[in-house]
Amino acid sequence: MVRWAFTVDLERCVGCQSCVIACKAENGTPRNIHWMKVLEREEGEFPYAKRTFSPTRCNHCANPPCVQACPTGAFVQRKDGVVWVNQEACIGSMACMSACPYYVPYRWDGGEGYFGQQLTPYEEVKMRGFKRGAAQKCHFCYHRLDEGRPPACVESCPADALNYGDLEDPESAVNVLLRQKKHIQPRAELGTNPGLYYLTGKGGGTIGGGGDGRR
Amino acid sequence: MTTSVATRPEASEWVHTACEMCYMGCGILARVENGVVVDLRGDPDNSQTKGRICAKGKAGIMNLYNPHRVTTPLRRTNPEKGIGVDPRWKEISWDEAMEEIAEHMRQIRQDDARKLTIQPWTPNTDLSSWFAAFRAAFGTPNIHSGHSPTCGKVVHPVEYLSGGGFHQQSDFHYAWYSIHVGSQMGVASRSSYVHQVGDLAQARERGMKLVVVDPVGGYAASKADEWVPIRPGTDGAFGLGMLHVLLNELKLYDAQYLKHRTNSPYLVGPSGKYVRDPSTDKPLLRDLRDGALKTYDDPSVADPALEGEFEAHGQKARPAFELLKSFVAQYPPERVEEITTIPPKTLRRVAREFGEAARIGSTIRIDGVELPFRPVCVDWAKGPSGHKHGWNNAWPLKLLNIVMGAVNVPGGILSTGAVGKYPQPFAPEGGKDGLLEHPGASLGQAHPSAFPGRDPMPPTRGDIYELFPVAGHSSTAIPLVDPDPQKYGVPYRTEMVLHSPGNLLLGAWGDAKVSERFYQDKFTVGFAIEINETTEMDDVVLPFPTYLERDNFVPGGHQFGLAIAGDPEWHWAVRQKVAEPPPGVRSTHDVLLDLAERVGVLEDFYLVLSRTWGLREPHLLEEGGRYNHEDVFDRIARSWFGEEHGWAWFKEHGSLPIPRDVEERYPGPFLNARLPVYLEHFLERGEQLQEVTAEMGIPWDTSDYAAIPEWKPCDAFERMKRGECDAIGVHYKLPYVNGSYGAANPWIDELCERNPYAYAVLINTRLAQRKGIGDGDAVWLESPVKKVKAIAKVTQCVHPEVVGIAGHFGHWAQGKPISRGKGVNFNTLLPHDMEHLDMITTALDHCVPLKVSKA
Amino acid sequence: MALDLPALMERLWSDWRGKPKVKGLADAKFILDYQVQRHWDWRVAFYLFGAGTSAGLIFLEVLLRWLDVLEKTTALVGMWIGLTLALLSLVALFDHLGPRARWRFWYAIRNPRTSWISRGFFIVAVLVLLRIVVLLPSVPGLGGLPWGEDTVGGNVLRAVVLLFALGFMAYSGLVLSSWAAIAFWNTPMLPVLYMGYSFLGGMAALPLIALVTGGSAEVETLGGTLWPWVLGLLLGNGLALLLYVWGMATGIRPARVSVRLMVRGPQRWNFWVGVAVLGLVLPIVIVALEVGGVMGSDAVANVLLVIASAGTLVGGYILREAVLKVGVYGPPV
Repeated sequence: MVRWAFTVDLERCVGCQSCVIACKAENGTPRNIHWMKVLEREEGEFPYAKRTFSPTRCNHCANPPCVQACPTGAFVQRKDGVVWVNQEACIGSMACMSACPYYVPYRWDGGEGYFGQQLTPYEEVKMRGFKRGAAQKCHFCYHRLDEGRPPACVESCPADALNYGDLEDPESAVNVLLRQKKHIQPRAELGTNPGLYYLTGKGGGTIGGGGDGRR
Repeated sequence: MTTSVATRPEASEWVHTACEMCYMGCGILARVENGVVVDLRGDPDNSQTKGRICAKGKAGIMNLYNPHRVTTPLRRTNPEKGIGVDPRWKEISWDEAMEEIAEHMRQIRQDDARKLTIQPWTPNTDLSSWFAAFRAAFGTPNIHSGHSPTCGKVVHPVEYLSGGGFHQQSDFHYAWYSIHVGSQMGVASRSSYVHQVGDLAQARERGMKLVVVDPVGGYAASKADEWVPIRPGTDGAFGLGMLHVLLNELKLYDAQYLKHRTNSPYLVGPSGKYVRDPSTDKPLLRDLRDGALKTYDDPSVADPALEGEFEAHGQKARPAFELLKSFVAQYPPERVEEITTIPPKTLRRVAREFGEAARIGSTIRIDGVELPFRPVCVDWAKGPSGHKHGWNNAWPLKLLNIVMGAVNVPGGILSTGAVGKYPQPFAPEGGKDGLLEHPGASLGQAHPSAFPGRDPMPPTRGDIYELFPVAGHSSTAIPLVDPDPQKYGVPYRTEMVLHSPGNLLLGAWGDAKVSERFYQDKFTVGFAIEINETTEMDDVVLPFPTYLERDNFVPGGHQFGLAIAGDPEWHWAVRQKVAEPPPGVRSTHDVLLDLAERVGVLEDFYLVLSRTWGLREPHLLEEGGRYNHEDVFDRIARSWFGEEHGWAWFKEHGSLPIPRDVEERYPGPFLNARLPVYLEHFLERGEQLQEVTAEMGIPWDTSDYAAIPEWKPCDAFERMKRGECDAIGVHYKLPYVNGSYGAANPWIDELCERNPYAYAVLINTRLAQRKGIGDGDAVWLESPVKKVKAIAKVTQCVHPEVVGIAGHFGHWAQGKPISRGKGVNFNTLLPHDMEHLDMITTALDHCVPLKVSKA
Repeated sequence: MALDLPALMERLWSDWRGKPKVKGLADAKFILDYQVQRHWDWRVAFYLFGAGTSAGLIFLEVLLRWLDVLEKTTALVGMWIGLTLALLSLVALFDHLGPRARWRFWYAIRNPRTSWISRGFFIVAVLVLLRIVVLLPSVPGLGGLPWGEDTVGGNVLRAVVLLFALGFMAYSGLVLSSWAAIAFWNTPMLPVLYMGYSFLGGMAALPLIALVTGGSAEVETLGGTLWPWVLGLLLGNGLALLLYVWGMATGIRPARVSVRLMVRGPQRWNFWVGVAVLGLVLPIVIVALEVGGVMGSDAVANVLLVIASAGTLVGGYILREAVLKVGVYGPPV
């Protein structure tokens, strides 16, 4: 069995947004839709202040609230842990949006292309994959996984902050990193068992907004 | 059925090419499906990108398919020219456009060829040098190289003189303590971005300490172990204070290095000049072993004195190092705090950590060669150099690396593009007085070195370059000289400008009124991808292909001066067209060849191209031959890399990996020259300049031509002190924005909209409170030359005396509907006059005094 | 190519309807902070209120008819009004649902095993059908149908209606409380509160309907039984609301943020004026006076009682909207 999961190294991430645009270019997400985001927060007071960067996207939870909440079964969890949206089956109930603690899925209700009404040749190709009025979200680039290629965000990351691998394989990149570094699962207290581990460095700490007890 | 996945039609392929979303030209692969570019990724076969790509690079697809592009030549029909004035474009044919341009050029050439000015900036591609070759063939000296008002103005002269290469980089491969002053290298900016980010992340993970000295707590400061906020324009004082603590308080410096590899022991007389050997005219030093005075290159020199005072040929003489030491004693941390706001405790601690981390005396074995190991460096770029006294601000920072012996050695500061094998072996070499005189450069230096500099003389160039004898270029003087060239002795005035798509009006200079004036009364021809602020001033516009529709033998900075230093591999990569340009868009190389033919300078153009590009028999461009750009590229490629590596080979393979040996990676120990700690020649250059300008009858401040520069306040510093302004405006970079063309990209624009910092200006909470400004409020920023409205981002992550302005925003051109009216344009806030230029390097002062109020 | 009717209808509808309005957090800034949900707007609030109130209404009508407190005409009119309200709230819901849902809504039945939305869809669909069936014998010409009042079939039918009405009232809270993502909703207090408010809505609507069908006499007859219950329910709901908000105010951070938005933030007018004063305090005072016999039975009293009923209903709607609008996600990291 395979269970795909991500790691995000908060010490290595520099907030460059490469993954955000890489995701966009790969999946051609419409205007306003970002499956991958790098969220920022300010911490501390001058002169001991800094900005922290937390890449977020769908965590492909083992117990996905979206799959449970979806009334139509449009949210599908594959055997390898990838959670994807069958847009044909989605009716846009937005149950997923309320259910997801990471507010990942959005319903796309249509709208203009990036340059207005007229779509670019690139958008013409990519927008075919999007159904108006249906929820959509990160699907772990499973078309790439199935070809043995890394997700677009992981591939692009100049800082090597993003990684992915099979949780069931002790030698996978993810498991190697989890053994080397301290880590947290975002909002693990909700019982979602997200397929994402934020690496917080050898020493742990509060980098990137993780584990500081703000909840 | 799977629906939300990228479609995968059969007819698709990956093509090797190169990015141009900044000036580096990273190797990328483009995925082309049925003629449509659907993806771009880092080329895994390219040693600089290793498969990585940044946000800007990925977003390039949207630049390619920008519907606001220019796809046909245009002619202005509105005789009135100016900012905000509609040129009333009329579409014209290529032939019509080319003939009009050629006719103007022929007339100018008959009259005085110097009346043509060429602004060639294409982001470090071969095209810039094609423009330069065209210039030479045409016969005008007026070329505006470089692009921004700081672009390399300080770092190139400094680096050529003290490192031997084009630019500098921290050696993240081995460094343990890296201080970045006003530089976000490896985090948000600088050359080889995707490579450096990975290297720095690795270094930080391995335990390297990163200290960021910066007025803005931006990306770099956020990833640093320590952010040291500093008042803008005072980096030099920080450097001098650090030097004082290291040299005088801690006595931590690499004495052996200074004795044998620098001019530290050279004896200096009361005049400030070297004491020279009367017969050989060589500088003297005193050997402590036998107490004798010897020339610096005397093979018997064993232990040159660094300190003390001696009698030498009837003069009281002191070693240069002694002068440096006593000079920096004027900058104790307590005084430095008054200038920089850095607490003395912090300065002393950072200096100690830096000095101790240098592990003076240690060595490391790389590839079987034992090398000095100095894992500390101070890196800086635009931040410290963009000042009225830019040289004085930056040089002390370089000195910190030199006194640690940390130049071009593992873990230290490295010079880029200093040593290599193509097209012929090159390396920096010594010369006058045993000092580094000939920097290494593969195709000839991009700019002259600051050592020994040039004899100043009455100017004949529009940039009065002759009055800046140690500068690399002086493009900031162009629009200041232009209204009245006679005043500076320049006997003609520019009548025609030919410029690349670079947006000079917004990017090259300061105050837009000054830039506007330059373009207003000339016949100007611009290449354009989109109608930007500069193009709006043009008379004729020629469409320019985007990088994905263009061939370049040199795709960017990776190839020459900005290649990653210290890496075990280098490569030659090219850019090739992956999509057909829209009908009506021609190859600019071919347009230049066409133009040269129409103007009647084609044979000269061939000659210059052949020489510039080091073409060898049988690949020289022949008289009477007719070539297109691919023919020329093929000849260059074969001349350099042998018959088997022609243009077709590069198109198929993308890049040719070239291993580097240890001398190329760490040239410091192999350099047969000394580095300066004391700029003796500045004194002479300053005296000469004084004579020349006195003769010309123009007042000229030469006080910065000092052997050891002191820190001097800039205009904004003084105004803050007098309470005449509320804050000093500074510019900082975002990792996902480079140059103004990125901001017209809707994906990047969307990122800037989402990030609360990007389009806003950073205002410290304290200043905001005092002014009653809340987060997200509209505010007025008033510089001496411009008043703009902005959105405030109230933050702890900026110095309380500073307003931080990011990116390259604030467009107003009609042809840029996406970036129009968003963010603040920093450059046009800057007063642009001689009083705001660094008199050594012509860097424009980037500290702008601002009045801040709630709008 | 086969005609894709849903797709065609979808296009026609959205051409008519104009630009999409639901944004979710798609345009939120890239900051790591609490985020207020924005996808469930007033239309969902109206649906929860309308369908809930109408479920309360039919529940009471059936019950009170059995107890013979309610006039037949009033009950009948009330049932028609209730059905209309339910259908109106479904219209609001459908307008809010995306273009895909309007023509594919039955897909929602597919996942009742884990999805409350799916269950709710089932309940509301059955309830609406049942109510139509219940009303059919009252349509002229269909009087002969064998499930009129006081028939065995009718009683069974009405018993089922009671069950589904109860189900829907509970559902209107359960659908919100079932998700851990938004802490302010994720409490068993919410279904309790919403059930109480659904009943209350029904009770408040009845006198208004009675006023229309039978004038003040009918109100008086009905009121004798109804007002003490209304008072009790008002007090009970007030207590439940207090417990709910107080519980949340001492809960985890996102819940506290929600409470702050509710009582001090953008929803404070809605909460204090709409929910507390108009929906609770004012009706409690008026109904207490009535129950205490101080009011008498003149026209002024009737007007006051109408105000109390209307206030209760408006307060019920505002509560639903305010609760939706202060739904806050915790930071996702």
